[in-house]
Amino acid sequence: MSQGPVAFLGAGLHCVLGRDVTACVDALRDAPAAPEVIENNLTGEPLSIPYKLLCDEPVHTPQERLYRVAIRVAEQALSEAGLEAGARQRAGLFLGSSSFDICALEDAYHAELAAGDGALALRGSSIGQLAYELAGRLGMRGPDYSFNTACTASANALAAAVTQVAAGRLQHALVLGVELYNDVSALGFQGLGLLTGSVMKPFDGARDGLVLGEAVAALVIGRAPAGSEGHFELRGSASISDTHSITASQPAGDTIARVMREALADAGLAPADIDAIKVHGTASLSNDEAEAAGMHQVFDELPPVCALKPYLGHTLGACGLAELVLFYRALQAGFLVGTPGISSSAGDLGVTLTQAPTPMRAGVFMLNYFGFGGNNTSLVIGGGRRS
Amino acid sequence: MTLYVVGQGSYCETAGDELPPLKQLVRESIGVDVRRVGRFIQLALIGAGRAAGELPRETALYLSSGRGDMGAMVGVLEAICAEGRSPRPLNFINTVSNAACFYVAQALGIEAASAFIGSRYFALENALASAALDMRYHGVSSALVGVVDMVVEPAGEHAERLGLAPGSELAEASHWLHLVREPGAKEVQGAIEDVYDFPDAQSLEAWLARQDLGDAVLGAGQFLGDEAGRWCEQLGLAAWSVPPSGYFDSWSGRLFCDFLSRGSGRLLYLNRDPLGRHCAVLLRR
Repeated sequence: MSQGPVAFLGAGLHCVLGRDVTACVDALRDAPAAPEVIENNLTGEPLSIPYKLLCDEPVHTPQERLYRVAIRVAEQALSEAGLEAGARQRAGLFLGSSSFDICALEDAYHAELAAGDGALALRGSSIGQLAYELAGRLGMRGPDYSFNTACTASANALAAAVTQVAAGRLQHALVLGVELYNDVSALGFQGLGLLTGSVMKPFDGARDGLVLGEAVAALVIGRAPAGSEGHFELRGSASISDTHSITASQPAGDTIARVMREALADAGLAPADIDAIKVHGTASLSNDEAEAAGMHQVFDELPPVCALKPYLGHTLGACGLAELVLFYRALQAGFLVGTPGISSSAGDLGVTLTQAPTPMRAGVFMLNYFGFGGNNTSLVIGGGRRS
Repeated sequence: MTLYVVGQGSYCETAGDELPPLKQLVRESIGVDVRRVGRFIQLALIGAGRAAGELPRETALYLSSGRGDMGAMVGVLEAICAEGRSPRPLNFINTVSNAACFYVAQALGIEAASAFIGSRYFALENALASAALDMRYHGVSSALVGVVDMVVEPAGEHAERLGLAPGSELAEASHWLHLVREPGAKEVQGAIEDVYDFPDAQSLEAWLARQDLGDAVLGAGQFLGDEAGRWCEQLGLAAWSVPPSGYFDSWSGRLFCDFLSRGSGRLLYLNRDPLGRHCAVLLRR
C-alpha cells in the first residue's frame, strides 16, 4: 500500500436537508429543524413517529423510490468523480445499511396479504440483493459487498473499500449508505422507547432520545489525480467488538476509548493532532454517557466537537457515510458544523458542541460510530485546503 | 498471501418436516447455554464454537450468509404486517444480522473487529477476501470466518421463499474456518492461497492461463452451472464431489470444509453470478 493516499473523489447525498450535497451543506448553516411526524396505524393503536424524511421525495411505492434515489445519488458521486466507462465498470460497490430493501419487501408482503391466501414474508429476499441489483443497474462489474453492522455499517463499508483500493485489488470503489423509511425500524425503535419528538440534543442535559432519519449517501474513492489538491482521504480506521450489551456500549467508555486509540494508531497520529471530532451522539442517556467517557479517556482536552444527527436524524446504517459526506463537504465549503443551543455548555458529561458554523477548511478529524451488536468504529480523515 | 487454516467447524443438516432443536448442540459447542436467541444465532454459535479451539482475544470475526437472519426478520414482519402488533424489542434487535456476531464474540471472548458481510452470490468468498486483506494490511493475525444459512419453518414455504421448486429438499448449514497468518506451533489443516474476483469469464480465463494448477481438482460453486464441466475439460481437472445435501445458499462453505477434511493437494474453486462476474479461491491441504 505504498502508492499514496486513497482520496474521496466524488460524493452524492439525499437526506432531509436536500437532494444533493451542495443543498445539504447549505442547509447546515441554519439551525436544525424539528422532524416531521409519521402516523402509523399498523398496530391498531395510532402511533405518531417523528422522522427526518428525504427532502422532496414522498414515501410511496417503496421499491421504485429506493432504486430511484439510490441510482440518482450514486450517479451524483460517479459523475463528480469523473470515472470513464471502463473504470466505472471495474469499480467495486460497498453498501452499508441496516434495512437494505426491507421497505420494498414490506410493501410486497402487504400486497400479498391484501390479495388473500398464500402471502409470504421475505419472498425472494437476500441481504445482498440491493447491492447486486444496484451493481447491475449502474453497469458495475467489480465485486459488491453488503455490510450489516447496524449504525456502523457504511463506515465499515468505507474502511473496507479503502483497504481494497489501497491494496491495488480495485482502482475505484463506490461506497453507499442507504436507509429509507420502513415499518420494522419505525416500530422497532418506537418499541425500544428510544425516540424523542423534538430535535435530538446529543450530550445535552435535556437529551431525551433520537429521531430516525432517511438518507442515501454515496462516495467514490480512488487515487487522486496527480497535481490535484484539497481532496480528503481516510487516514486511519478501527473497528472492535464490545460485548458488554447488544444495545449499549460499555458505560465507562473503555471500549470506545480503545477504538479511538486504535484508529489514531492506524493513522499514525496522536490525540493532540485531531482538529475536531464528529461524535456519534444518539442523544440517549446511556450511550452519550459512554461516548463522552471514552472521549475524555483519550483526549486530555477535547478539540472542537460537532454533531450531525440533530440535522439528519439517526440514519442508522447510512449514518457512517451520510455524516462523513456532510462533514468533509462542509469543511471544503469552509466551516465546521454547529448546532445552536444544543449542549452549549459542558454539563454533566463535560462535552460542549460547536454552536455555530465555525471557519475551518483543512486538518485531521475523527468521526465516531457505535452500533447495536457491540460494533464500534472510528474513522480518521484528513485533507482540505488551508486558506 | 497465504492464510493458514488451523480450525474448522461445520454443521449441515437436511431439513425434514420438523427442524431439530439446537440448544444442546450450542451447549456442546461453546460450553454454555445462550438464551433468547433464534436459530440463525444458534447455528452461528455451533459452527464458530466447533472451529474456534484456543482462540486469541484479538481474533477478528467475519460472518456472512446468502440471506441473513431470515427467521428474525420473518417473525418481525409477520408481527407487524399480518398480526398488527409491534415487534418485541429483542426480536427487533436480532433482525440486524451482526447480532449473531455479538453472541459469537461474547461466547468466544473476542474483542477485535467483527462484521457481517453479505453477498447474494459470493457470501463466504467475500468474507474470506475481507479477512485476507485485513490480515495482510491491518495487522489481523487471527480470523474466524463463517457462513450461515437457515431454514424458516415450514420448509415448504421456505422453499417457495427461496424461489425453489415445490418439494425441494433444504438444509441448514454453518461452516467456519479459523485462519491465522503465522501458524506457529498450531496444527495446520490447510491453507487458502488467495481469493480472486473477476468482472467476466474472459478475465478469469486469462488469469487461469497464468496459473500452474498441476493436479488440482475443481470445486464448482452452485451458481457456476454448465460452466463447471467446460472449465474441467479446458483445464484438464477432475471435479471435487461433495456428498449431497438439501439446498442452502452458501455451498462454498460445505465444499471448503469437505476438501479440508478429505482432500489432498489443491482445490480450485470457481463460482459466478448472473451478471457474469466470477470468483476463484485456491485452497490446499
